[in-house]
Amino acid sequence: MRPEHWLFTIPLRLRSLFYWAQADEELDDELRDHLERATGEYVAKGMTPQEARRRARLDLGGIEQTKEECRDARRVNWIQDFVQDSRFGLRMLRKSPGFTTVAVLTLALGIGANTAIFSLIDQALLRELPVPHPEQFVILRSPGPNHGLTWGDVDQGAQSFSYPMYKDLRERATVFSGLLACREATVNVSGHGETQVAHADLVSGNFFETLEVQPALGRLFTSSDETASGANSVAVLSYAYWSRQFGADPSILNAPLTVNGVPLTVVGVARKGFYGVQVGSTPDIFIPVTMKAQMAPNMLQTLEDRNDHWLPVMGRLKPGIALARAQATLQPIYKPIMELDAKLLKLSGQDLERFVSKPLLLISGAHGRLVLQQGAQEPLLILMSMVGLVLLITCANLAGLLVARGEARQREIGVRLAMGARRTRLIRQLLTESLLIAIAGGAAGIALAWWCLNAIAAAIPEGDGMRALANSLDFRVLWFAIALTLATTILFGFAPAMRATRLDLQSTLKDQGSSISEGRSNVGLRKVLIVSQVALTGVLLAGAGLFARTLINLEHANLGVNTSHVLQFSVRPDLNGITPAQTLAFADRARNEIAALPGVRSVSISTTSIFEGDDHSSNFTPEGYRPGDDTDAMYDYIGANYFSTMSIPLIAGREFTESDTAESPKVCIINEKLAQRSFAGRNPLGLHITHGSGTLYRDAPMEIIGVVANSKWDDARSDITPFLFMPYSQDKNLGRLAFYTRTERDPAPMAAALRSLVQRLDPNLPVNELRTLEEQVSNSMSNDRLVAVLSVSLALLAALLAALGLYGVLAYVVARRTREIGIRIALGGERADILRLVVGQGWRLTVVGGAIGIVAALVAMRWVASLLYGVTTHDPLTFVGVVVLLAIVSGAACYIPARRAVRVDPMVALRYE
Amino acid sequence: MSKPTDLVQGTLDMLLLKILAPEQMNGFAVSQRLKQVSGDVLQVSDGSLYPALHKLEQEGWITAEWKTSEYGRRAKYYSLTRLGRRQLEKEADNWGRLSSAISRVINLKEA
Repeated sequence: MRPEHWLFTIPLRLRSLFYWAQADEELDDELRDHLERATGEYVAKGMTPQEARRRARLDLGGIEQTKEECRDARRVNWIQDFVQDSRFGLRMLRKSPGFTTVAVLTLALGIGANTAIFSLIDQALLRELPVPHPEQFVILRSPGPNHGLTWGDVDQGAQSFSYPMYKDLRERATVFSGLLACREATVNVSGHGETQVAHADLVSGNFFETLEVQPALGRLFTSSDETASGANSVAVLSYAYWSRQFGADPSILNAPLTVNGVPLTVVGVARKGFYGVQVGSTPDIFIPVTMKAQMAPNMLQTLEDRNDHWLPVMGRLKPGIALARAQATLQPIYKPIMELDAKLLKLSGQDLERFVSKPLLLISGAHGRLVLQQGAQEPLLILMSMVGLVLLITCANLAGLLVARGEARQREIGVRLAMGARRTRLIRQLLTESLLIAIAGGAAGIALAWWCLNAIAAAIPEGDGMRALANSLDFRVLWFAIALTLATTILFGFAPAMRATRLDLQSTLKDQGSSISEGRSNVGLRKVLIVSQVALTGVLLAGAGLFARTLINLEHANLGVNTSHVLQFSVRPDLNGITPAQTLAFADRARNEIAALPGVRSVSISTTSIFEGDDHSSNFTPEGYRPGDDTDAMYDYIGANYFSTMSIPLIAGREFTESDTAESPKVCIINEKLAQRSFAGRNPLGLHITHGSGTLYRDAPMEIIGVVANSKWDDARSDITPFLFMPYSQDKNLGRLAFYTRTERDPAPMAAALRSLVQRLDPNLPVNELRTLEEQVSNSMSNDRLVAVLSVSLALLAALLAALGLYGVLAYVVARRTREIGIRIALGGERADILRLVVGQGWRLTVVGGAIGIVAALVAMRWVASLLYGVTTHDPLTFVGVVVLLAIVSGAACYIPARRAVRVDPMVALRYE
Repeated sequence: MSKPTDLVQGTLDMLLLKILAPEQMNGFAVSQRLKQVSGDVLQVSDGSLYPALHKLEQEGWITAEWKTSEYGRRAKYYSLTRLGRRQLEKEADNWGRLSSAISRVINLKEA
């Protein structure tokens, strides 16, 4: 259309849109006028007025049809139709409030759950770094043997580099427009008379520049903020921390902030919404990496040592350079550096080979570094699948309801079709009704998702990386919810709409209920829906059963430690600049004072907290070591009476005592596993073992003075590993202390006493993670608990929906066949036969659905195998339980329709229409 | 009334525009005139006439006026607009070209 024509028609179209009620009237008048004139013509030709009028009417054809076509011709666009359909749809929905409520609620549940889980997944896995061109980011990794102290947070330490290595790469690699380093640390921030713990990121000078992040206040770091160890006492706050701690007060700029006892000048605040490069972590402060010695004093690795691997490195590739190409150009740069390092380490032979052939690889960093707790990805994906299945069940349910409703409205639809409505128009109208339900359900679902996310966030223990994820609903998620709403509309609305409008008009407009074969195809569709619902429910029940059993197994797992009646807490004197000697003195004093408290049975100290996923491992070379033997073991520094406090049986030898001091001979205690591995067939007591391997860290050999029973360290799931304990008095870098206090009675009331005791000894020392050991263990299972609780809830929801669906179909079948049943009874049929008829139908559907479901479950459970503990993927007990539950569900659903069928009064039924 | 042939259906717009060209008419008059002029060959049912008229009105090629009819009630009278006149010319041109092309093919001598 030419532009002027188009412009000209706009007023006409607008008029049509807004005045169409009036236009309807006009149409009436126009056609009436036509009829009058035509009638006049025929009368003039000699017909009687009635004849003439009849002829005129016939000539015009179906008046309603003509009117409809005229309306179509005037139709502006689909907006008008949609408005009309919506109005009509709302009216119809209001007429059946029960159906509408059930439909909206079930849909809200389905959409809400999916939206909530998607939000978590989006933040954890899908969302890219909120910086320009996140696709240019890569993470460096170098898998292979490391010689030296390696920080293994993920990827078995392959992503940890030394600071000198980072600087070398930054200097020589030309494929990057910027290479940054970033390492998280926990620090003490003092101000206003109190000291609090904060999360810090130690970053290279070019961190913000490479990420292209803008400041919200002041300035951000530059390369001049990375000069020499201890020389860059500046800090940048995160926006969230600045708002939370300092009320977004701009006077914080250039003010000093005491971190770990060191005054740092706050030079700026990062922009809102920037949370560093690690998914699931929300750093409060950014500090130059050169301040490492002050900010992470207890970290064994040093800034300058080429063999201390502790710094993750990420780079921004120059535009247009592909990852593979970049990776290829790095090898010729990396190899010479490694060869140099190998020379310094004096490696030879096979060790040298393996070392210098370590590759430098790149992986995509567009989503940041994923350092969520082990296995957080899988539970999320599994939850996503489960809520997806529930949504499918919901849609199947709704489809079934709509089919039933379509049947009830057959008369109405039949009349409308007979009056000339086009089938596509009717389908569109029915779909609009479905859309209205979906929109209502979607809106409610979003509200529900919001509530769910808050509930989930509350259930995740503090300090767990997942918690940072939980709380936000943003636009991506909303779009997801909207898309889901539309998709479900099509899913549950389309087939019923098609079905409902495909009518044999003749039989529809006659009395219904007479023919038994009528509507058979509709029941067929509903039966298919039921079978699929039951199958999906079976899968969900199987999953729920397995996860629930996993959780129970975990909770009852033998940890090797008696966790009841123990209070734990930890302190970090190193963050306050306290020396190891002072820390030792503090430890002894605190221990004695705690032991003296009433109600305390025993107290002991460790330097690493148990059941927190925090562990250290290193190489320990035993006496009688043969090259090729495995010398890897986890270790911890502990105090006197540790094993008796934790109720770990001592198998041989003795515990550490006060007499094991820094000056006394070096001693250690090993666990059974280490004894079996490194000292098989020998009595380890009296033998020696040395910390280190190869040519490094040849400390003095330690005499083994005791062997203890195996116990778990990280969490209930972890395997027993070789473990070595040393006295903390012989720890040269003593800076962290974890206290374990066993109480006579309930430990909870003692918590306040412990806290005030520590405050009295050192008011600047924050008491961290003060809780019972049982709580701690429970927290370590929070992921499993979340999965178990959610999967059980979802499975029960699915079962409920399936039951409702089954009930619906059976009730319908009974209602339709009431006459037939009446006849049967009147002819002498047994009520038992009737019962069998109805229940048999229900059973058949359940059995078919259940069989499909169980087969599907057996296949599907393979994917979740890694999340299970103590149960196999084809655990017979669980599957039997699923069968039983489905049987119960089926029985419950059949009950009412069966009762109704049995109670049919033949006299009433035969008159029933 | 039999359905109009497909050809007529497609060119109905053009025919109606032509009929409305000389003077203002109401719907009934249009249908009478069409039957009259075409000698009853072009049988357009009233049922398809009015939707066509409404569509033409929607496109802006004809415009309508409500007047009081002889029967004392109001009636709708259509007339051609300037845009309509141009559209009519265009369509008449197209029709001319189409019909002469068809004639040429039909009149090919069978060799």
